[in-house]
This record gives sequence, C-alpha cells and structure tokens, in this order.
Amino acid sequence: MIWLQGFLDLMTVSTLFWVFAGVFVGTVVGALPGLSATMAIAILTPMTFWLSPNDGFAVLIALWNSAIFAGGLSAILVNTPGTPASIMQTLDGYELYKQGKGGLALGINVIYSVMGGVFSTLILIFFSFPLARFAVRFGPTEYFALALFGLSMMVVVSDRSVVKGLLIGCVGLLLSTIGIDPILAVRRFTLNSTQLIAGISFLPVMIGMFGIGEVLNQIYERNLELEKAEEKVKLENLSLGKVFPTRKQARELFRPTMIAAAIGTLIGAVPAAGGDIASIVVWGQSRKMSKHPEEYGKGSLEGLAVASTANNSVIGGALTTMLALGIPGDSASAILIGSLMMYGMQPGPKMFTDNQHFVVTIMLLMLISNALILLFGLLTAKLSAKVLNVRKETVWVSVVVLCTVGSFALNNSFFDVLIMGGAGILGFLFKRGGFVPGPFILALLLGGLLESNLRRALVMSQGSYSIFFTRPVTVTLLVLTALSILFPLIRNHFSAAKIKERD
Amino acid sequence: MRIKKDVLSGAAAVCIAVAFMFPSLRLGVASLTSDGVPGPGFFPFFVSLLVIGLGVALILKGFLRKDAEEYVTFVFDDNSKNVFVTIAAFAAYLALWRVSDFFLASALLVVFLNFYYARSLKFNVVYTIVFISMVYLVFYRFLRIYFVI
Repeated sequence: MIWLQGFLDLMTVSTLFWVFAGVFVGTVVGALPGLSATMAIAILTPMTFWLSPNDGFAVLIALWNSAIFAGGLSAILVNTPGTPASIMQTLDGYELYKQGKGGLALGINVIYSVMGGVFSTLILIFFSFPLARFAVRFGPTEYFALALFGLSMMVVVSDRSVVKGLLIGCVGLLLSTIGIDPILAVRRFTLNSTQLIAGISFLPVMIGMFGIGEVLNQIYERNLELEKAEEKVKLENLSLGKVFPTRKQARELFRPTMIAAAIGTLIGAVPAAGGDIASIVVWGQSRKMSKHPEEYGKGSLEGLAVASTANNSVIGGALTTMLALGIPGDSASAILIGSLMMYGMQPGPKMFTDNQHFVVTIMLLMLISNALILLFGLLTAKLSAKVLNVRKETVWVSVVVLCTVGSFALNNSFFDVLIMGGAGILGFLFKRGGFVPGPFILALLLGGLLESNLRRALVMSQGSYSIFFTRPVTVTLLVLTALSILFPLIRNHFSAAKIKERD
Repeated sequence: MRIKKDVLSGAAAVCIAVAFMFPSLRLGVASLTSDGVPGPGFFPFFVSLLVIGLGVALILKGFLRKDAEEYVTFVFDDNSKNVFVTIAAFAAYLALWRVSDFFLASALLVVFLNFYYARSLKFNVVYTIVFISMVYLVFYRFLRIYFVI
C-alpha cells in the first residue's frame, strides 16, 4: 500500500517536471568534462530546499543518475571522461566512435547505464529494509565503529598516500569539533563568534571544494595544446550510425552486464568507493571472464556495456548504505545526507521507522529517473554531441556565480558564502599538495556522529574502554577498520620490497 | 630555500593541531563529573595528538624522499596568474556585493571574467544579460531568495 501511495504522490506534474529538470541538467553537467555529478549536486542542493522534499529529491536523484550516465557521452565522442566514473568508457567507446559505430556506443551507454541503475535500485529495495532492521539494534559503540570504518575506507580509496589521507581526515575531524559540544553543550573554538556556534556548515564546504576548488584547479592545470587537440576531435564529426544493439548483441551482453551490475552495486555499498573504482574493477574482471578479451580496449561492445552498467549501479549500492546505516557511500551521498538533515530527517535505521514513506519515495524516484533517462537518452543520443561545444571559460564563470548563489541560499547567510570561498581555496591547495578532499569532507560530516557516540558509549561504561571490545558488531567493525588502514601500508611495503629485489 | 611539499603540509597540519590542543586542555580532557563522561576537550585533544603524530610522520617522509618533483615549486606562468586573478576577482565581487547590490556585483564579475578570458564582446554582452537574467528570474523571482546581507 505504501508503495502505491508513494507512487501516486510522485505522479504529479510538479514532481515529474523536477525529475525531467534533474535529468536534463545532469545530462549537460555529466557530458561536460570537468563538471562532476558531485559538483552539480553540491551546487543544486541548497536550491532544492526551496522545494518540497519530494520535488527537491526528484531533482537530486535524477541529476545524480543522469550525470553518471552522461559522463559516457564525452568519453565516447571526444575520448575525455565527463565524470571520473566514466573513465573506462573512453577505452571502448571512443574506439567504437572511430569505427563509425558512435550511435551504437551512445545507445549501449544509455541502455546499460539504465540497466545498472534499475538493478541497483532493486537491490536497494530488497536489502535496505532488512539491513535497517538489523541496524536498529546498534548502540553508540556500533555507530562509533561504523563511522570510523566509513572514514578509514575513505582513506583507503583515496588512492594516494595513506598518511596523507589519514592526516587530512583528522584535520576534518578537528574542524568538526568547532561549535557546541554535543554532550555538555559547551562552546568550543568559536572565537567568540556567534556564527561559529552552530559549527562549520558542511554544505558550503562541499560547494566550495567541489565547485570553486575544482574551477581553480582546472585553470591551474589548463593545457591549451590538449584543448586544441580535443577541438580537432570534435570537428571530426564522424557519422554515428544506428543506436540500438541487435537482439543477438543484447543476448550476448546480458550475462556480463548482470555480473557487472552486481559487482558495481556491491562496490557502491562499500563506504567511499565510487563509480570510478567500480568501472575499473568491473572492466578488468569482465575482460578476464570474456570470450573475447582481445577486443577489450579496441572497441568492444561488451567492454563499453559493462563499464556503463557498473558506474550507474554504484548509486543504488551507495544509497543502501546511506539510507540503512546513515553512512555515505561516496561524496554525492554525503551531500544527500546533509540534504535529508536539512529536511529534518536523519538517515539510518530510524529513517525506516520515522520516515518510511520518504525512503519509499527515494526508491521510486530512482526507478522513475532511470525510466526518463532511457527515454531522454535514446531520443537525444545523436544530439548530445552539441553539449560538448560549451567552452571551459563559460563553465568556470557560471560555476563561480552558482556556487555563490547556492551557498547563500542555504541559510541566507553571507558567512556561508565566505566559508564556501575559503573552502574553495583550501580545496585547490589540497589538490596541489597531493591531498584528496574526500576524507576531509567525510570527517567533517561524520565528526559529530563519531564524537557523540564515543562519549555516549563511555558514559554507558562509566569511562571504561572495554565496552568497545565486548560487542561483536563493534569488534568486527573495529577489526575491519584496522585492516583497511593497515592493508595498503603492508601492500606498499611489499611492492616496494619487490621492486628493490627486481632492481 | 627549497621546501618539500610534504614537509610544508605536515608543518601546517602540526600548527593547526597545536592551535586546537591547548584550548582543548583548558576545556577539560578528563571527566568533570563522577559518571565518567569525558570533558568537552577530550575528543579534540586526542585528535590533535593524532594530527601532530601524522604531521610529524609526513615531515619525516618528506625529508626522506629524494625525488625533485616533491619540492614546492612556484612558477608565475599564465595559469598561476589566471588563478590569482580569478581569486582576486571573486574577493572583489564579494566586497562589492556587501556595499552594493548582488545582481550588479554578479554582472560585473561575469563581464570581467569573460573579458579576462578573452571572450568576444558580443558573447560577453549576450552571456551576461542572459545568465544574470536567469539567475534573477529563477532565484529572486521564483525561489524568492533576496540576496540581502
């Protein structure tokens, strides 16, 4: 009954309009290299607070799904991934385009992106409820361990130095302590400023780091010669050919893409692992299992289909972790957590009892968004090349103004705009120093959860730390945390030793 | 004097941690009551210690690395000049917004950045009018965000 009611609630002109708006904006954003889905979600989130929760989430969910799908457009047409998640689509997609099968490549991208999205939504529907029921029994120690595990995973997948990942995460934790103490309500590090009493707002920091920070980084790394080469590719304008795969091709692609969807969803459910990791892992795995591994990287339909499936299937996995446990699966779901909080909802098991209707709404929005992406994507497949003609400078100028508007719109606060600007410069400096902003952002978001549950647990045990070693789920999560931090260190040590031996 | 990136980053992190550590001690690290609740300074104090430890590890790692790429390099080329100009324009934009009107300041920023990045006059005029009008219609008229500081 709740599903039917939820579906009928979404079948309004207003919600369908916002889903379409999200798909449209997401397609443009995703197709433009340099504009990521996270950046677009960060900029648009404050604006959605002026809409009803249904309409607001309609925009965000549609935008997220379509931006990941549209990242494949520029990967296929100009050999440049529109979003990091579409990196593997360049390998086979662009080759297909050069072979005069660009239309088919674009069609495969739409169909299998949607398939990945729908598959992962079904997993979300079937698994998030039992997971939330299991997590209802979690106490402060489990939540503390869960938040710690989420943070450690972010460090591990940050793909650079573990020390740097840990360091930047801990700096984020330090900044999360600014404001009112969660247990004793004492002011901390507020420098007598009333604006800091509520702490450093998470969303302006996200907008600054993923918006202004990214723009500054693109300006700094600009390579005019490379841009000229890309322009040349755009001018080639090869014929696209047919869009739909044949029945035989669809039959052959069914098995590998279903496996890709399953692996992609699983990777998405792991805190901090995103679409880029999923598509890399899945593409490599599918090549090993393929009957024609030699075709991979040379215009393989299968290679393109599995990469397209994997990056979109991550979304349902990330939402499962986010909704059932309250832990973000990646940066985009971290923003959605902030968004749900602004609407007065707390992601996690309680959401499945207190706001079950909205949980169902999010799941249905996933399905509706994917249906619209399929329709919109197939109808506009051959027109999508036009989007790629927007120049980088136009994007930069627009992003700067929209970041300002978005950060101000959150609370009508100029202070938030200043925080956003500062975070933008900090984000740029992080990138120049070889730090990834992910652990910092996640620590800022999870810091409160981590500290309040740690101290609550110590209240329960009257200050004894043994409470963390007596509960099985907590112990398991703490062991996983330790392993996830130690594993890359041990791996690096052994690979360094191997290189030394070889030399 | 040439400084390594890791050394500079590690030193900056240690400075931030020290700035949090001493106020944390003043807030109270140990339990202030008999129920074992740690003080408000407990969590930031231990995180500060972690940051100091990791910062020192990064400094040491920086000293031990021998590759030249790890040095902080600053070349004032076109790209870095563009970064500085964009940041300065953004700062001027915020200052102008404080003393005047949001839409005026936004229009001036868009005109300036388009001019600076060598867009044609025609594009600059059309883009500024269309973009600022859209921001006005969507945010001011439709969403009723008044941009008053």
